Amino acid sequence: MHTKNNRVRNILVVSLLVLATGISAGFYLSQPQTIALANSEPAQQSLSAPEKPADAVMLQDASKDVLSKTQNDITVEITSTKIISTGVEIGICYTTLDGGEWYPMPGHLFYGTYEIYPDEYEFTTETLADGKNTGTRCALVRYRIEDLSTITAPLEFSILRFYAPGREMYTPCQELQQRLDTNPKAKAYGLKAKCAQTTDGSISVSLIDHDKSVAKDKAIKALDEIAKGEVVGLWEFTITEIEK
Amino acid sequence: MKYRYVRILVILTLIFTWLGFRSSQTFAAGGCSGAACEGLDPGTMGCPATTAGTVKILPDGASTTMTRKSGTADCNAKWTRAYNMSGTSQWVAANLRCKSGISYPSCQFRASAAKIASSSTVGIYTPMEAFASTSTRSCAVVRGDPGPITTVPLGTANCTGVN
Repeated sequence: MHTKNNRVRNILVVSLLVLATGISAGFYLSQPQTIALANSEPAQQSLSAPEKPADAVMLQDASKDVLSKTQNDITVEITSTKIISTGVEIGICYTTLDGGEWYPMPGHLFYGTYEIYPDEYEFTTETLADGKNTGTRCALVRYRIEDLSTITAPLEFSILRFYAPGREMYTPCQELQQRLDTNPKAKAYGLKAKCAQTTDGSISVSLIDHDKSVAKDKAIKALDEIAKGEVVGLWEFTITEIEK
Repeated sequence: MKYRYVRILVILTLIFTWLGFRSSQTFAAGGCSGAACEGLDPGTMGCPATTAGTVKILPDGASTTMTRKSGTADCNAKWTRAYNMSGTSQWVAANLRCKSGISYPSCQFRASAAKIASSSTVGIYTPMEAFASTSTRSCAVVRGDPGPITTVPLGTANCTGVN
């Protein structure tokens, strides 16, 4: 009788331990194992899956020549131009100078006698800047046009500026520091900055050190440009071939 | 020998429990997660985020609104961000709309208490809506007088698509 009780007790203990082991293993596996940070190794990221309008029809091949313009260290390439169900969609890829979130400001689209305001854009892929190399971000810029039959080449397309707004996870000074850490020019110049947040949410930045091979004026100018988080163009393109 | 399996099970339990706590402490980013983020400020909580779906360019041709999404490994939440880039100081309101049945009623809203300067770096954002998987649209209004904005309409001119 006593032996039987011991056996039952042992079975119960082992069962409870098996259960506890299973629960603890499940707890471990349920925890997030990775975190994506902007200053991690450069990686090609798919930002979102671009939706292809159902009734986009191909009438001719895409332009074989890639249109490209470089201003203020930023190169913009036109990767595609299509007529879609809602208007015109232009694919672009552009240089990102640091690991900030760089957004484009598209200009109006001109063709014939028409002038169209930009409607929306959507990011597709990104390679982050890492302090050694600049990054690249690609997007689809869309213009809403009601009467598709009016669309004729050439299209005059432009990007007015690029800007890097602050990210919620960083204070304004942390944002600047993260961008300095991932900016190849800042690294090459050995820029070190003192940053203070002002009451209106903006920042006051001053240079405290730089590489001696770089003139102080040049270092200050580079720091000011990075702190501004905005690069003004213009990047203008005349697009002569459109996919329909 | 009799207690060999018991010892192994106890050791495995302790190891997995320790690893689980270690993972959650090391990798969770942001000061809240999921339901605990509801209604909180994403900036105050330090939530990592990316822009989800499209960035809507508002009728002035420059100002924007977008949905920000913090993944399940971070704050597991969404919110709307809006920027006045019209070139002049304007009233700004951002509005997150969350799917309910077939419609998208307002779920988070924030309006500027005063006109804010045209800026590509200083915008406004709504409090957070729990869960990154929530189907949402982001809307915004950037305009001049009269006074603060109290409502933001749902329309193609001032809202993103579903994301």
